Amino acid sequence: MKIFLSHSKNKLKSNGLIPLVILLTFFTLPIFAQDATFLVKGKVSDEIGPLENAVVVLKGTDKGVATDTNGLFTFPEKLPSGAILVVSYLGYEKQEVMFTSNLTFLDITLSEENIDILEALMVEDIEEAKKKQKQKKNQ
Amino acid sequence: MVRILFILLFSYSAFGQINDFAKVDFKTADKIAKAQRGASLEELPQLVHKLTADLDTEVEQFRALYYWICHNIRNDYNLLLKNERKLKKYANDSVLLNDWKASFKKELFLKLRSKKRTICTGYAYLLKEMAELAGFECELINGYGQTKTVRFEYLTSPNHSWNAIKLNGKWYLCDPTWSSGLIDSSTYEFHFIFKEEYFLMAPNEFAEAHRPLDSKWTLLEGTNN
Repeated sequence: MKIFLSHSKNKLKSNGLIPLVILLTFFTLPIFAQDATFLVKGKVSDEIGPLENAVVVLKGTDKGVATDTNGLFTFPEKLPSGAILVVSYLGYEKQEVMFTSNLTFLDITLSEENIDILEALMVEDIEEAKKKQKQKKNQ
Repeated sequence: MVRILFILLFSYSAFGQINDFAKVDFKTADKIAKAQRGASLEELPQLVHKLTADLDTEVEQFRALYYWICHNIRNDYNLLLKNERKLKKYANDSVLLNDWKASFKKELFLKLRSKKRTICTGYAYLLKEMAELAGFECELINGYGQTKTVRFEYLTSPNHSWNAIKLNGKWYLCDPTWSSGLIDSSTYEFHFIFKEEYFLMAPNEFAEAHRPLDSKWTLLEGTNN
């Protein structure tokens, strides 16, 4: 009986290690992830060549940088793997690019927006229009 | 009971549009937009962030973007005239016509970026771009726009662009070009006059002067959306 008890205690002890290891893993993982950030560089071009002043931002934030005359950028802060960058330039289709740690230089090609340019003018007598606007506000 | 509920729901959606937001006070959103007056389009994502980050509801965030565009982007009459002239000139030469369209598109975006001047497609495009950067679904709608000087019956090809925006899972209509102001009929200069009525206008009212190429974007009952 005694032997059996001590044996079961031993078993408990050895099993107790596993949750401890798992617990430790949980604690260390986020710390590890926080530490692993990378300097992200890249180049933005269109079909002709490098694109100057394209903007690269971390999605959902205002952290970002514009490309130089050679279309090159270095993100102003180090980023963790899996971070999503939004690359945009007015007149081109935006692109979302996921940065991963095994690819720290991003080569991005934007394509021009395919849009038809249309125009319907509102030509009116300005004084009359302003009067109307005032009347509306006073109503 | 179910039937009554259905009718109630149905009539509610027919009222729709700005009435959905009748209790929303846009003062804060407008104030945030005013604070960014004169801001550059060169760093558009950062501008969008400044306009929306401190607002809690989708409609207020969108309002700040809309208000900013309508008070900072000028309608460029000369750009329009130039385009009209060239389109007429090259009407019978498809190669030159396509060359012109491609180069005009470049010029349009350059003018918008550097001078904050554009014509209506530029307004609708910019609103779509800014709304998407803020995380919204937004569509650029092409179609026919009827003004005092141009009636629907005289329009042979599409002449106008505007937007549909999805707020809280529902589509709404707006026209940033016509909300921003007017060209003076005597001087042909642009004047900013904010026309609130085109912001999330009810679809039946909107349809009086807007006919989209794809009828589902009228957002009227009976059209497939």
